[in-house]
Amino acid sequence: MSDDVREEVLDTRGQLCPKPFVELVKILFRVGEGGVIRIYTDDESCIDYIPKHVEEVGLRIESIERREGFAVITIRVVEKIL
Amino acid sequence: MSYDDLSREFLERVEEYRSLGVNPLTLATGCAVKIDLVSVLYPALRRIKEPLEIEGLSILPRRDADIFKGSVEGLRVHREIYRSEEEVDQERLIRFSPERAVVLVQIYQRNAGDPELVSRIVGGVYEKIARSVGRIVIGKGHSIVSADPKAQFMLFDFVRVEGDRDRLVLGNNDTIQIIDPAESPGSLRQTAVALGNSLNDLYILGAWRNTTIIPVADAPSEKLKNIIEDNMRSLAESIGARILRASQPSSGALLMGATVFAETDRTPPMFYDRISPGMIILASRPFGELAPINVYLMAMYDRDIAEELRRSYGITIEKILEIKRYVIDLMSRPNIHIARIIEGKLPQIGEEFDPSRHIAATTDVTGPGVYVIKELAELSGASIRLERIPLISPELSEFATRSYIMPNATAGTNGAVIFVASERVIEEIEEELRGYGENPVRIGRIISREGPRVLAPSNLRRFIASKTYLREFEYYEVS
Repeated sequence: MSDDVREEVLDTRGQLCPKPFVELVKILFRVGEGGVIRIYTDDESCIDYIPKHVEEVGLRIESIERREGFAVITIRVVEKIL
Repeated sequence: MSYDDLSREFLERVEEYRSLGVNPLTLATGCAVKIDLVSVLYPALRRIKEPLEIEGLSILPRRDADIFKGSVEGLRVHREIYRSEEEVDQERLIRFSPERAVVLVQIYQRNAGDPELVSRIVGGVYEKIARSVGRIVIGKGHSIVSADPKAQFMLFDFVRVEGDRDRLVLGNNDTIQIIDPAESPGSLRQTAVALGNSLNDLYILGAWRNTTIIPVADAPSEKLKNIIEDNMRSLAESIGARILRASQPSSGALLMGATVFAETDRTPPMFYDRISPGMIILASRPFGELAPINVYLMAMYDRDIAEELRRSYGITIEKILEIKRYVIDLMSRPNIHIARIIEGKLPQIGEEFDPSRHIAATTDVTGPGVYVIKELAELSGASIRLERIPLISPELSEFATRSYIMPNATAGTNGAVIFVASERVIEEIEEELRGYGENPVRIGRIISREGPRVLAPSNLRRFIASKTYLREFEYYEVS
């Protein structure tokens, strides 16, 4: 699991849960400590589920921004699990 | 088989589920969230508890099973399913005159995050019941979430007790939506996991005699619902249990489980004040079943995840599949043999607890995983040193944690049973468990009664990502 990436944007609009969640997991393989991921999703299950899950696993939700027909969830990797 | 073949087979099964209106990946990866106990359910219940008590309805604190005096033979059970308080038929309830109830609450996902909303949905129904029957005890409740707005309901198995009250009856309700999307939704193993899950809370308290099962089955088609009920019947037969027919929810969302009752003439192992330094904590087998299932799903869903797992841990897709099959076999095996072992090491009702012969306490490793040890510490006021964390697949649990797939990769379902007892009793349990083909592991011991603490090996952090759980332990370094 390499972790040299500092910022990623993940546009999952049009994809249904759990696809956006699976894509998030893959991005987490390479985003390093302090890194930021912005997920664009229009799937309501994911809009509910991803922030809850992210906080449960020790990452931080920086913001959830509702836009017309989709949301942007910004996540910070505060600590990598070694 | 190649990855492509396995993945194609898996995705074909997923399509079968989708054609039934179910997204199995969503269910299995947890996208259908559970009602959060700490932030939603408990605050919701706190809001309504006191006014309901004034009306005569008591909600007992959370525990493994409802326990009351009586016999299974003397139980009269009547099921009602309400989608709203308007559906509560007060006259019918007055005629049945229940003393207590086991309740299943399924709430639409959008409503399930708001304690105020949950308390209104649940409280309205409870209030109308209380006004109908006067005094009633809600002995056990089980709360789940559905992604389908039409699938919101409360299922009550109302109980009236007749006849002798010289034994104890234990009651429970539990359900799952799906455990293994690689299998048909009507497979016997899916139903076996669901039923085993309901029975486990009785088994860990040593109750298995005269087991009575009242199935809960809902499905997108009547055919599938009938298959699940047929499965329940054949599983009941295999453990010598009786099935009671009852009305079923008809929301069309996949759901399987049961309300179960069994009786005992022993005092259940809840001698928390008798837990003392030197007692051993034993697990009936390694745990952490949910990590292999979750990693398997992710790996079948996306080749990159399977590839990362192979690169980081050398675990191939065939190996994951093998572990996943082993786990499902474990979970679908009823733990009635463990109930028999426990029963044999409990005092008769009215007899004094004897630490040299009896089990002081039991629990099972379910959703909170190894955190159940902290719950034991809280219940007993004892300090515990956790010495081993025996996981079914430490590699898959570690991968699930490092990949942020699971907050707690020690979690199980229909999981291992934990025993607390003196060394002598533990030795007997180990021998009996091995006789049934189990693989018991001593995981820790009681070190004092100076307050509820758990000292855990520092490598626990490799298997739990959730800070909420991690901060409940104190750590000592291990190499």
